[in-house]
Amino acid sequence: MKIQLDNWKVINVNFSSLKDEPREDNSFDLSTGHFFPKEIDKSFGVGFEIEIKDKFFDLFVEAIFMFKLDEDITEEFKLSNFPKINAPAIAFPFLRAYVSNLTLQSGFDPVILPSINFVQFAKDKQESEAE
Amino acid sequence: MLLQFNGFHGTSVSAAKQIVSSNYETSIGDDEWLGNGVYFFVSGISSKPEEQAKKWAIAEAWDKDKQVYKYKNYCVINSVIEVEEDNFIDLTKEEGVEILTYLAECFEKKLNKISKRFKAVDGLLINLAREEGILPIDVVKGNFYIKFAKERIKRITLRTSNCTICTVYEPTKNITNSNIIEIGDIKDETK
Repeated sequence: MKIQLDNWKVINVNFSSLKDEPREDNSFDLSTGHFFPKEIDKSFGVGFEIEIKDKFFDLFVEAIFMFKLDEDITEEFKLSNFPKINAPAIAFPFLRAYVSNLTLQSGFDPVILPSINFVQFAKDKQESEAE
Repeated sequence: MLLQFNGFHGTSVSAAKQIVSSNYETSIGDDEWLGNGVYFFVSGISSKPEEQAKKWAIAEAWDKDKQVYKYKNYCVINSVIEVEEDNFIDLTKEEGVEILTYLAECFEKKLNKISKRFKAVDGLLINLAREEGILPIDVVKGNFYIKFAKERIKRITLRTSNCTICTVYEPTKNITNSNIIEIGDIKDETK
């Protein structure tokens, strides 16, 4: 089975610099999801929502990455590691670069998002569900 | 005539695995909106039932007593529901409401005995009608007010319906196909 990133789009950005005192600490929150459009048999999408609370600004980015397969998507595939681990791992560096450029071009120090271990990320979710 | 429509079911990923590998398990209880069955959000009052199924899965993940999420990923399943028109009750229409009113009359004595007078008895009536074989009911649809995470946290209660839901009593008979359409992280709504 061949899988490739077909296209990606940022669908929502909200950037606001803090008008008052800067924050003491930065924080970063990430959530992911994947969806399977009924009308396209061999494609699926991975969605990201990133919320950054920098010392000097708030940034929210929502993006969608579409992947293309060379065969039909089965229910087993949907529940497999690929959409949950592999696809986000392929997509995340693009988003990381986008966030870094956006913050730099906005006149702030560039935000370099930490690299995410999506295997561990998925494992943590699974373990908390099993508890 | 055979009716066919899409239903959207929101649940955890582990439950979704069970559903796609075998089938749905029915929710049991006279307190259920429309009796013992499998529940779906369908088009009606809302044009985005799949979004409501997602919100339902997220709301149901929260364990109020333990103050934790029971699961961290939601899953939305799209099922195709097929039912003979004669075995379908549509409570969003006058004819459907008339049937329910008729059932309430049929079971008046029983209802009084069970002293459920101050609770909604829609589900109980349908369960009784099915148990006693009064009507051949396979699928029922109705409009209800359902609280999702936001409404639960902010304690918003309305009388106005916000969802159209549908219940299937025998999933193996009336559900022809089920596909996962979305899986995602549940964000902590309490923060």
